[in-house]
Amino acid sequence: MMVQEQHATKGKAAGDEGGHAQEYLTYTLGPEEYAIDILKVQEIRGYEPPTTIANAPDFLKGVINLRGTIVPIVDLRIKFNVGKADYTPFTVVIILNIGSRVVGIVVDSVSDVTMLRQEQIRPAPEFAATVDTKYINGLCTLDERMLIVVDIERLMLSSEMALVDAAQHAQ
Amino acid sequence: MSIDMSQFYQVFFEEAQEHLNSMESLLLELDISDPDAEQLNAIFRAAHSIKGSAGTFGFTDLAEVTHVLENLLDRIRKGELALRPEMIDAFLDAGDVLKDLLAAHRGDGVADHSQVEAMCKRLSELTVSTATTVQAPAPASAVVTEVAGQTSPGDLDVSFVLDMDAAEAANAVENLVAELGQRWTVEVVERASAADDPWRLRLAAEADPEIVRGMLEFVARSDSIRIGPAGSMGSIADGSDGAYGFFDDDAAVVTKAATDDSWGLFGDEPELAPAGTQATAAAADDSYGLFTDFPAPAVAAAVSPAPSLDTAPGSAGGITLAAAAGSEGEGFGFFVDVPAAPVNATPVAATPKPEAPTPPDKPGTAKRPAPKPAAGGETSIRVDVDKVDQLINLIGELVITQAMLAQSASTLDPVEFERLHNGLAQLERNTRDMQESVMSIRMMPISVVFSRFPRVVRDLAQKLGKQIELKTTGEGTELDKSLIERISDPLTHLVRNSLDHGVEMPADRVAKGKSPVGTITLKAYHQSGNIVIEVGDDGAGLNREKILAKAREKGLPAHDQMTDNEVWLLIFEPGFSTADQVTEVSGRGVGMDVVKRNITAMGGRVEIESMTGIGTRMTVRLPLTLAILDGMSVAAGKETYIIPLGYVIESLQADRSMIKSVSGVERLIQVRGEYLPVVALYEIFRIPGTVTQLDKGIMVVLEADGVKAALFIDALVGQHQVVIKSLESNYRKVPGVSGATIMGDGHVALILDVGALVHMAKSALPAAA
Repeated sequence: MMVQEQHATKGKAAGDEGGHAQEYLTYTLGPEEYAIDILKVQEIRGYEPPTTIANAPDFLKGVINLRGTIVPIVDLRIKFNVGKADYTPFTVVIILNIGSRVVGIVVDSVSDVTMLRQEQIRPAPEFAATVDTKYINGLCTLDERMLIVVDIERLMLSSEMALVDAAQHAQ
Repeated sequence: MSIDMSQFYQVFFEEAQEHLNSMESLLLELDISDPDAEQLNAIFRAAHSIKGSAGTFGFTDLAEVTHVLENLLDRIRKGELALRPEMIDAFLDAGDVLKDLLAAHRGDGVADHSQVEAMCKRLSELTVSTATTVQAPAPASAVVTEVAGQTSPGDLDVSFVLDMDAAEAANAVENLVAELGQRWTVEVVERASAADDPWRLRLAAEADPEIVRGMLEFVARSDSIRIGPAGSMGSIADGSDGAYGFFDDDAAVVTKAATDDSWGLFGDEPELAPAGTQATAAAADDSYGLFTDFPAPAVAAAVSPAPSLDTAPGSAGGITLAAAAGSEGEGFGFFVDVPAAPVNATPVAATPKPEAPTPPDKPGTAKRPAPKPAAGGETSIRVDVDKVDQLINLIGELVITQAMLAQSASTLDPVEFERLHNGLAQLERNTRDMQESVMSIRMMPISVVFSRFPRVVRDLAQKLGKQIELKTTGEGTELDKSLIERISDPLTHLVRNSLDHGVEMPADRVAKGKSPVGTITLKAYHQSGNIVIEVGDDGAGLNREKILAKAREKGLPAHDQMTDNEVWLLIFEPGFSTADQVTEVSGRGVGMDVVKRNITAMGGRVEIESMTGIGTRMTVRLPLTLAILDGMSVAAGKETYIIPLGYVIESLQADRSMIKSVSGVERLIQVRGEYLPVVALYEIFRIPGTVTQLDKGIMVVLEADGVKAALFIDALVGQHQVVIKSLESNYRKVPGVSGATIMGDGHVALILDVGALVHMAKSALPAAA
């Protein structure tokens, strides 16, 4: 099982070039490429079968034991209906630190860590998609590729992910 | 420039709180008619500590109150004032004022300064009013002033016995005299010739007896220190130093005088008897004065020069011992009687003093020869709860890792890897021990909670005009700190409830032939992995009719066929009160339903037993800790679930004949004459690949909130102690699941919420039918 650990280097992200550069972790879901703020990433590890939770949405694969913490695992490929939701030894789980919570997301692969400046990120046009545009910070072109910059915190805490009690996302 | 004191405030607050609590419990224990010197001292020390640190930290209002409090306490413990019930009330109220002040300084509420002033006034009034009555000014006798030329009225005489041997004594006294001399004029009246002899000093009038005593206590035996107005130490009949002198010059005479008039005490001692015959009248007179002021040990001290006579060294020593220990009934009685008797017997006595009260501390100590074991003997450290929690988590991890290693190693050849196996076995033992001791860090005795009840009961009983005796047992029973914090409110409510609704008014009790004093019993003990706390009273018991009537009025499902137990459980329904009217105590919006909810939230349950006219007993059962649970692991499909063992009554394999159907759906099982609803876990949790035929799997009979149901699962796996992990910290609440745990293989297993499952059975039943 391939387990790579990667701890976010704090403080480096902002202020290097042009004052607005930030590090992003990019991952792929099928043919699409996404970018998330690397400061939200705790570690990247391999997939292990989680303990299923009854009556949970199908994209919630269950919970795993991450060194003593119970961590829910969400398969974004199922949630957004992109990519093949099969689990191989190379399936990657990104463990995210969102607020005080720890959540894991399953993606097809992790590709890179890139520096993006704020002005590189263009606002996304309104369009119909499974990912509501309100969770998309913007789009970014990088060597012919389009990166979808996701506000992962907002997405994971949203009611559509059902990761948080209804009472909590009322605020 | 100044040091930031605020960082120490927290420590001060905690300490002050502890001192206040111990002060309160001591005050409540105190026997007013015969206060224990040790307890008085402990109360004084608590007040003193608060005063000291409050002063240091600049909390002047706290210091102010404690100062007055301390003054009063000091006089009481010195026997200058007699303890009275209203003083205890005042002390308790002062404690409340101090608590309010503390809370205010913590930023919780506002300090009421008028309260402070009122309390100071009340305490000082108590100090003053009694001071004058008890402390009758001892008039210096005319004889004394006339005789002792250099004595001016109000001069102090001091006598003491040094607490060291003769070699050091001279030096010590010199230092002492020099020290005293810096403040007042000092005169050494009498030097001790032997180590056990008393020294006497005379001090000028302005000397403060308290300060002098304080200084003396460094060198002298504290029980030997006597401070009184000049001349009171012993009257002087002839010559300026005659009375004092005779200790020096003629110790034998004193002994004889003492023996002669000692009411036959020495007559019992053959060796001393001859000495008594030589007593002279003059000496006898003098000795009376001496004995009037000197209580028992002083007599012994005065007698002790006897060894200089060749008469009876041994017997004199023996008397001293007897007097001190108070073991010999007659001898002891004798010593106590001495002060009063000679005054009446000898009108010639030169001391026109009123009968001097025997200094209360002396007989007090003699009467209670066994001092209580010191309360604060054990040492402890304060640790942040988070740190302990972290440690517990880490240990939990270690236990899991150890289990994983053990599992991997079990596949290896035991012969080839013997050393590894041995090592792992030892690791297992060590981790288990370590887990236990780390868990015990969080454990605290329940006395922390119980100690607040004497006060609660006292105040409430006073308010309601009831007489209550509170009995507590099992205060040493330990439970988790987090439970302690959470149980104290429900428990207080139960106690209040017993007091308010349970115990009848004294007149009613007498009419029923009971003692007017009601009893409330608090009991704590361990029982099969649970801690059980009982709140019992010997009151009227619950009134079945009244509860039923009330329940109907509230529209609750109630009928006459309900068992007593079911009826009692009605009082846990929201909005239910057995009180006829809302009193000051009840009807505060916190009902028994809240008590029950809080206790259930802790994984515990409440039971009620009641008998009309005999009393009521509420039993609270709680798990030992919130972090660990005794669980039964069960399998359903590929999943493992944990059922908290406390809910499990039995498990069985259902027989075809036991399964009953209602309108074509098999949803009932007959167990020992009872029909129980069946909750199929695979159905509720939609677990694929499980056994679905009710007679193939296992039925686990569960009981929660008095409701029974059978949970249908595939198989039983085992029994474990599991570390409870929250599912909600990273996810959300899942119906039917109360938490998660990590099994030995590192996998997550969900802990079933039995209460919810049983309710699911209730609601699912009509739907299925």
